[in-house]
Amino acid sequence: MSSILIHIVSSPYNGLAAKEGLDLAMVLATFEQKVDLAFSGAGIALLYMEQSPTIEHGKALYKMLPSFEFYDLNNLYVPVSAILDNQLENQLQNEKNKMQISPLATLVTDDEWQQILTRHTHIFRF
Amino acid sequence: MQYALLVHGSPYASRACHSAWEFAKAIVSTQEHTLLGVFFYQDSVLIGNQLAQVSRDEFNIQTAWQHLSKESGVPLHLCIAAAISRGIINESESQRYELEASTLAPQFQLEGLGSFVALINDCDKLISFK
Repeated sequence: MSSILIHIVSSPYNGLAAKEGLDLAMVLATFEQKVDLAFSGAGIALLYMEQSPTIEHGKALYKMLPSFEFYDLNNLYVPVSAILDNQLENQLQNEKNKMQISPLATLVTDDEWQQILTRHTHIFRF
Repeated sequence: MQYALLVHGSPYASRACHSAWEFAKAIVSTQEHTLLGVFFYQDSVLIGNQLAQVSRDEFNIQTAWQHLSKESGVPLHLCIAAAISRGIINESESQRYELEASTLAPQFQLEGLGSFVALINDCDKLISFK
């Protein structure tokens, strides 16, 4: 069976890309495909805890995270360098902007990230 | 080799539909390769809007895909969820949502992501076009 990585790089509040990536992940998992998720860049915003978007901001996609285990979507990878980049950016903007990442996500080193990118048969980036 | 194509980008804001069409044309022109199907996802589903009118002096990428499909029999799938949310509606969905019109162009068909899973599993190589 092929293994699939859905790599979310778009903000959940900027268009439909993140939502459509998650939709694809859940459908693939429903059809018993082996699917992992990865988040980097603006896509990390989907993993922030304590978000409170209004309906105008967009769908609260982070609320879907706890349901992923029912689809066997157990691997949510985040390269640690992407977190550091985001935190540095946030620090430059405002110290209060530092956000906690969901404990469901697994931080991976650059070496592990490289392995993740090479071991999947298909990678779909949203 | 058996190929399947996944297209993501809007026909108006990217070259995804154009590049995928060029690639598809190359596959169907050979005997040694087969194109099992093309799946349009995200903004690329706008390719199936029959109401879109292209200036006469511009290349019509929708017509190009229609000809390719008609001549080669390659199915053109539009993700049904992505299409409906962007106003690309076939007859049955038009009735279901109690709308007055349908907008899906001939040769394109609305399919669930399950059809894409079948394509992934049946092909030797899947190529994405952003």
